[in-house]
Amino acid sequence: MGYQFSIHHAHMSSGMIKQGRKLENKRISRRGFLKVLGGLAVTAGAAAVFWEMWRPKGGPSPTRTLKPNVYTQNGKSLVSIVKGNSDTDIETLVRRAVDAIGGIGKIVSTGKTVVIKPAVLTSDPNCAPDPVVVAAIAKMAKEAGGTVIVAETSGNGDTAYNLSKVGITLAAQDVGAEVRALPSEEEILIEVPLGTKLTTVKTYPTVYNCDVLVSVPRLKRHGSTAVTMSLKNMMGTVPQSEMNRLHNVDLSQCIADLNTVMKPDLTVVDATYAMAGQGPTGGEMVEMDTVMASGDPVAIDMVAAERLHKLEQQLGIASFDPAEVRHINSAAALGVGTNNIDDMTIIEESIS
Amino acid sequence: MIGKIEISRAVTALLAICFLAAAPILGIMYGTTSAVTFGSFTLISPLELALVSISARTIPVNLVVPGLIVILIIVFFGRFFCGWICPMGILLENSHVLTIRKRRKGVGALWKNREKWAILLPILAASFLFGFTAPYIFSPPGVVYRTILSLMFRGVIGADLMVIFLILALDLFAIHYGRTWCNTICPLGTAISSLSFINFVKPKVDHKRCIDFDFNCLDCERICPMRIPVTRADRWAMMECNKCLKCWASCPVKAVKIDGFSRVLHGMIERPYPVFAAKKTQAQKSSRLSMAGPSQPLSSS
Amino acid sequence: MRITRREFFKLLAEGAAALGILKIASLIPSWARMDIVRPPGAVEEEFFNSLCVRCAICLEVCPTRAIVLADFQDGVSAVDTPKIDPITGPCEFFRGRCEEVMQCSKFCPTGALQLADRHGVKMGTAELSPDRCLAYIGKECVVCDEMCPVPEAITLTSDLKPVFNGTKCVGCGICVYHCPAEPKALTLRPEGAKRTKWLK
Repeated sequence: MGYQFSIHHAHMSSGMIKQGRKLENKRISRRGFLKVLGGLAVTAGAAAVFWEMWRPKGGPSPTRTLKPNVYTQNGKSLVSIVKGNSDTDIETLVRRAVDAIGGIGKIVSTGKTVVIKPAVLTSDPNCAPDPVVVAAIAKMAKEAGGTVIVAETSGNGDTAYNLSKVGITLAAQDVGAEVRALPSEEEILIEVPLGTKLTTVKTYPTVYNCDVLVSVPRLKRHGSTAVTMSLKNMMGTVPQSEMNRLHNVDLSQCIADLNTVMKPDLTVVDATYAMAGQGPTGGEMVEMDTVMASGDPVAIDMVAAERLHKLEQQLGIASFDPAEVRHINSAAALGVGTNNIDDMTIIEESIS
Repeated sequence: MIGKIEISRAVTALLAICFLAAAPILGIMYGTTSAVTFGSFTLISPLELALVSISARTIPVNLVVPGLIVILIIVFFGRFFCGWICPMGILLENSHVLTIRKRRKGVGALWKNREKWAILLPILAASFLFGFTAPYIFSPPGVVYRTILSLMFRGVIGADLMVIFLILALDLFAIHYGRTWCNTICPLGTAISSLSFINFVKPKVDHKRCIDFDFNCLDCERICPMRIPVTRADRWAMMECNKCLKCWASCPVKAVKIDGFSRVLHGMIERPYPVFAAKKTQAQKSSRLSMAGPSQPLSSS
Repeated sequence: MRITRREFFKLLAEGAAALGILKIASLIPSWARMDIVRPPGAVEEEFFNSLCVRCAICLEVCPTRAIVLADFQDGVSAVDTPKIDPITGPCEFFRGRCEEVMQCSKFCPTGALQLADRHGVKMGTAELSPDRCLAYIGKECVVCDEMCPVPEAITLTSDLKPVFNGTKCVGCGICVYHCPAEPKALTLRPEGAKRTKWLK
């Protein structure tokens, strides 16, 4: 008997039976061709729009270029040096230093955005300004009615971590300032019209668009540029990749060029402890209990360099020639400020 | 025709990959199939634990509990990893349409799987004798997961990805039916199946409904990718079962039940095609040997 | 399952062949680079490849993305084990995000990487190629000296050229990462590495 039905091995190859489909030899029609063309045009247009939106933009003409220094007297730049002793309240020192040259009210008024830029290279508190100094300036700016942002790009490591580790994040937030790690923002490309070696540079919107820029470095030596103070602090307004590029071009000249578009309106140098002998890391921390302030970054760098040189001579450490610091001289040549002692008025005060 | 079960299994494997990729970003879990950590709490796969212990001549104390937890899960639930999570397994099953040659069908040919011992034992011996633990790269789920993580975190694809293609090519050239890599070679699979002692979830044939005695059916055995003789398997043969549920889905008379899950699966049977089996002759009925192919029958103990 | 004697011997022969192949594979010299720099906290190399289960957890938790997985060029025994690539990420175990706790060693499940005091760990040594160094070709650059977290590991000559002190160097690779020269003037080599002791 037995008609047999074939055993259906439908499930053998785990259920996926391919349906063969014959690809016919199709010729493309006119309509099809136009569709493809239209599609390409739309894609190109969309790509162009996206490119416009996402590329690093050249900004409008720089808003921060060489504004005149407001902290002057009889045409000379004012530089204040306030010295205390180990017990002096640091905030008092800062307030005295800034008030001695004219007070923060000269640059900050209600509604202005104030960016405080501390020099935070690593997570080592010795390399960064004292958080109390940063907080004091933030407080003063807030009292004058400004909105305060503390911003920085660390050269080494993660900026947010470094700011937190050196104590600046907490100190700034305690006085109501916002803390921003610049690398979290999108880079913008700006022109440097007065630059000799630098024609364009990448930076961040926060520092570029602010009304008032306050530079807060610590008094430190440096391996190649001899000192790192206010002028070199502006390296922290560019991305880490850009910092590399500037070293490749010509570091000292690039620092000077950068300061033509990133000139700080006020500089407060934290010299409570100075790093002598070696820098910007690994040097000897020497107690100086001093805070300096000026509206002229070149002048204050010049004065601070001389003070550091004197300190090193006192300590018997091999020192540098403050008149030969290239980036200070180049910046003076570009008109960022003055490095001539005769064009400065130095106000020295002592608080006991 | 892709059944619901196959889709569910592929989706589960995909979800496992997505979870593995998303978890480190959320910070809840890090790792691959070799070992995972939930912060304070880790789990380690038994093969990796064995290789570490053997080559280092001691079981690291902090790995005892992590290893034991995974071993216990395998002891009670068997080789479900191979059927539901391993991406290589899903890939192999669905690529059988590309098989180069026609495969030899042998019903319930579990005896053909023995080569795996000639692979796992030398690997263990090599780690003991000369501390060589490189066969980790032949654990395909590990390779897949490491490749994904390497791509996510470093933007590069490791060279060991070619292991996946190698295994795929190997399997496509296989002579016998089923997931040849999985059931004959994979050291991780062998290690897992050799631990599946208790194995709660396994297929069980209701012999009152099974038509095998009267008809040449054995669809369940023909379709099993692990080559288990489903109708006649004892618990030792069932250790191979990777819970793919194909036997359950392909039985024309619903004679295959899944221990412990019958209620859940009750309404989910799918029968895409009717299957007509040929009636057996009397001689065929009396000789059960004819159904087992050219091998020995299972031990009758 | 019953097994015939014939099958048993067949399996035995296959097993022996497999063992032979594994032995040969373990002997394959890594023809390219035996210069793997391991993450900080790594145990001695002879135990490392045994303990590492290639779980890639260290790769995931490294905050600087300094860890990559070794490939075949680093030796068959080391494939997929972690190594440090300083060009893509600096290791901040000495100063930075991992200065308090080494994340890789904290999460390693098997103990191939072990928590250790960062002053006792040396991952390797940085090596300078003066022909590519910006300072040696007359430009103004001492970034390596600026970034180096170890005092005295890099010093400057009187004309501001960096000099590397191998014994003080901890091999963190921060100098390599920050070197602005193209191509980089610095490489991180595994020589001089001090590994942690493996506690059984």
